[in-house]
Amino acid sequence: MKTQSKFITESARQTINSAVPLIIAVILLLVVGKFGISKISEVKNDINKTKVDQTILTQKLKLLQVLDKIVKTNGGVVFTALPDKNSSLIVISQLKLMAIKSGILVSGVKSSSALSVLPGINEAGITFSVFGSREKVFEFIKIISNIAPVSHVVKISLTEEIGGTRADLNVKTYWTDLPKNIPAITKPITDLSTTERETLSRISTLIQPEFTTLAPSTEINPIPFGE
Amino acid sequence: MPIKLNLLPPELMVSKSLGSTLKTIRALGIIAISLFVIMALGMTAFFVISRITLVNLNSKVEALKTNIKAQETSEQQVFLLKDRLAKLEILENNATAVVNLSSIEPFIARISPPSTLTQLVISPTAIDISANIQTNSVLTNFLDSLRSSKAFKSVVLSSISLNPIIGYSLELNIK
Repeated sequence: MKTQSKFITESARQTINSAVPLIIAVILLLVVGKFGISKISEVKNDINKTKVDQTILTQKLKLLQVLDKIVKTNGGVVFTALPDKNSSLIVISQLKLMAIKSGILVSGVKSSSALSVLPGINEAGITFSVFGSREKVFEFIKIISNIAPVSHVVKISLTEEIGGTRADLNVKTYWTDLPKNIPAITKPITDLSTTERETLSRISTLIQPEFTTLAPSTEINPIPFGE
Repeated sequence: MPIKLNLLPPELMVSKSLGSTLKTIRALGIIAISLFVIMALGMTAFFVISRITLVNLNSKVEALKTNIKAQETSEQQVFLLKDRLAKLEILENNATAVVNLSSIEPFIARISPPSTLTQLVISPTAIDISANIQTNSVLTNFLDSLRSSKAFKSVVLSSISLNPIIGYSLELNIK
């Protein structure tokens, strides 16, 4: 049998007994609700971020597979057109080769480094003289714009002499350092733009330098100091 | 006939209005507890499902990353290719003297022996011609063709002189 407390009345006791569960439930609702919602939104944010990453990576992978073919076909051409080291020697070699093919004489070839006015692009100046018939000299000068590495004729001084035409030419050739930073793996990659594709197709038509790998004339002796 | 008997001692009795209020409070308490249980269960379920989804997504992302890492060389090559192409586009806009050479070539072709081209200086912005032209007809033909041409902005005949041996000596500045 319930005994009445000495300190509180029955009404107060019953009020406390009824109100306490409600108060506890409300507090739990608020505390757990706040904590749970923050945790859920945290996980939802993570899911959204991961979904974005997944989309980017999927697109990137697909694009990489497509671009890989382009790089394999044209990559070499582009890197020859704009190498990462001073291109003077290759250009001089190209000029001499073109001169032989055009049937003109090349003399006084000089190369000098020059300050580039273009950001991130280095340039070198090449001066030389050519001698031949006027038509052949003109044809040769035009060919210079079509050789790789990219070269520009910036000045032509032409005089006519007995037996032919002499042209003193000033050609600029370019090279650029390799990029210092590669973007993060989760950074999206874009397809080649129309302008880039057009540039690529133009660059692909440049006359490539001819490199010859010399094979050893005789078989290599595996024991050079032996019997 | 049933008789309502209240055997509780008067000190244990609560008033009728308080009794109904307490009833409402108890009912609200039950509803709040039920809501809490439902919310807790719902949140736990949602949290667990979300965690599983996140783990699955993360494993897919990791697999993709591994695939892309396997193609790291290709990615670097693409990046380099794009870098080079952007710079080549800048270079393509660089002025070259060849454009002016191609423009002046058909006019220069009119100066042929015995007339001579003493000097021809071509830059991306200007063409300077010094020539000795033997006959009046060649000179007229050459100057007329330049005058009627729309290939150049300006053609300035800076000097002309006549010498009985070499013919007409002229200097032209073309832009």
